[in-house]
Amino acid sequence: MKEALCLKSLLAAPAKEDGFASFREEAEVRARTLKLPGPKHESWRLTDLAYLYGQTFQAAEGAGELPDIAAQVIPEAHRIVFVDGRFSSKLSDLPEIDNVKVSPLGLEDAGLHEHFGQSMQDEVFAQLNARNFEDCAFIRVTGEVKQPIHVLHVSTKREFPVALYARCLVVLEEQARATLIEAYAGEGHCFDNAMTEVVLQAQAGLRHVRVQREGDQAVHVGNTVVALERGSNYDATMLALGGRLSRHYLEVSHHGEGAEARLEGLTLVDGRQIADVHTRIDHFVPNCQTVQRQKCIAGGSSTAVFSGNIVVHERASGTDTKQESRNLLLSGKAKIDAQPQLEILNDDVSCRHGATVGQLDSEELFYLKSRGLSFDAARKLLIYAFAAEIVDRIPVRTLVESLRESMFGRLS
Amino acid sequence: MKLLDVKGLKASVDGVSILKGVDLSIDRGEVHAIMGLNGSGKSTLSKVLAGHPAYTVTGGEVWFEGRNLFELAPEERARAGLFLAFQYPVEVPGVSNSAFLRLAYNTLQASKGGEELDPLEFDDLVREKIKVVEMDPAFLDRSVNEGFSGGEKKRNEILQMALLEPKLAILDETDSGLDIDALRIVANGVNSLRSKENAIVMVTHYQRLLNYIVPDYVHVMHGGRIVKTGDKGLALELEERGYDWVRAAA
Repeated sequence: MKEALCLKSLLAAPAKEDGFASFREEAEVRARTLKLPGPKHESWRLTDLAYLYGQTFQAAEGAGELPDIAAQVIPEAHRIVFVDGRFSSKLSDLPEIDNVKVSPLGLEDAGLHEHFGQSMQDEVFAQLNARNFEDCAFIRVTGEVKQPIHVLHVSTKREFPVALYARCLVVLEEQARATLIEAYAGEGHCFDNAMTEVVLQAQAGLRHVRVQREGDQAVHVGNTVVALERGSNYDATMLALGGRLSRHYLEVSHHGEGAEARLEGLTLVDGRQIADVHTRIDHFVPNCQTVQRQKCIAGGSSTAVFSGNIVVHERASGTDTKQESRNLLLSGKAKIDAQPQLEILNDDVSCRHGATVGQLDSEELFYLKSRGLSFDAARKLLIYAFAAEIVDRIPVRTLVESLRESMFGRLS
Repeated sequence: MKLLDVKGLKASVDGVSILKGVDLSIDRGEVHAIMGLNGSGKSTLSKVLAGHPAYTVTGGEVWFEGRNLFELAPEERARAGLFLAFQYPVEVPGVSNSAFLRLAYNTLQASKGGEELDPLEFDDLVREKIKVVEMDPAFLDRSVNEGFSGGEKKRNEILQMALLEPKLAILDETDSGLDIDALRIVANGVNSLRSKENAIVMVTHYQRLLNYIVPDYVHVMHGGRIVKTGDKGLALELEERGYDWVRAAA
């Protein structure tokens, strides 16, 4: 039972005794009851977890050297940095303005606690995070914040595999507006377990960008839970680029009428990478909208999984959803599993979905080559073009440029 | 040495033989028109010369400036100075037209040992060249050919020709889908690019393009061969008498 050993290693270190001690204790009980998913677990059956279960992890004790984060910095953004799961005041650049409060654990506004840790009680990785998190970014926004807020998690190289816990709570109060960049980077053998909770109160608007570009030995399991209240607008771009094995679960709940969600995702994997994106969007109330577009690009002998579930509940008349999954296979050994799913319990709705899997278009390749471009240059250009539809919509120029560079570099 | 020498060229697509022995010789400074009905093989000839992967060469040979064309990949042919203006220019969503044009330009410059241009320098050049085809510079910022009208696509092809300065430009049905104003603009563009050093081959159905770009030679294709060659008078004769008499004569 490799998963039992793995779970044991994740629970070996004593839980932190802080203001969240009872919260951590309850989480441990749940984690032990839930257990790590085996191969038959419904929500995990498309994703081979052998790479995770083949390792045991230690807690990342003590602070190592400060990593160089120059390549990750977004100059125009407020920045809160966590190194191996711990807040780094040296690398952070926190805002000193009234309408945004970004605080690490212990310095947060206690008013945020009512939103903290309320969800995903049946998800073992979320519970492991709750039991083990060292720090958390608490972000509260009132009014409009023009500068993006950059939450950066960096892992450093260690001698043994370590388990790292990233945690973030973002609350936008009524009519608040903000841009959040949540980024994961670093190197080394690590198991990065991330939990992000987002609450948009009435009429609030969040532009959320999540970039997972960890090193090729990392395991990344992230959960993002988003609650949308009346008339709020959630616009997300989520990129799964790095890691040897990654999984991101996004759950969006429409709790207030007239809420809108636009969810865009891009997975780009090659070599032996496995990247799994699961999303679940619940329409609980009338007249909300979800537009979802997921793109996967898989080369080498990689695997990309997308499972997107939209559930329209009985009360949710006037729901409008669109779900599109487009996929690009770059090699005969790569695999893409794309499963858009709709569950509709109300008749008065407009729901469309579709999925396509294709290869690079030979006419487009020939056209580019006929103008002198090498096969390699033409191929890169077309792959990037496929990705660009998602990436170029990120509203932070420097980030788009850095992504463009690193993606182009990887494609060669 | 001829610029292009086609000898007994045979080619097929999906196992169906289309070209059945084409002979064609072109010198620098010449303008040739290849005419013929649908299915005569004229578009196949242009695609085979450019190296389209769907076509298989089954016989004959083609020499481009003394080099065996079939030993060159499509991109090497482009770098050697061969250019095909597509009958149906391909839409490439997500690739900006200006970025594509600059990449193509710089690739050819690099292979010639010429100077590559950065985006600002290239912008100056492309804004100069775009006048040749009277194209709205707004099309530079859009994806390659995506959502362009038929006429805009054809102008974009000739803009590429103007930037890449090929030795041999093959214009495959460049007149199709153009209204008379667009036809005149495109033809003026092509004429302004004519020189003693390069040659142009127009593949067309109709004589009307030849009123604007006057050929030195007119060839008629039928059944996968060139069955008649003449001067511009031949095009007028075809216009008047149709293709039947050529077919009968062949």
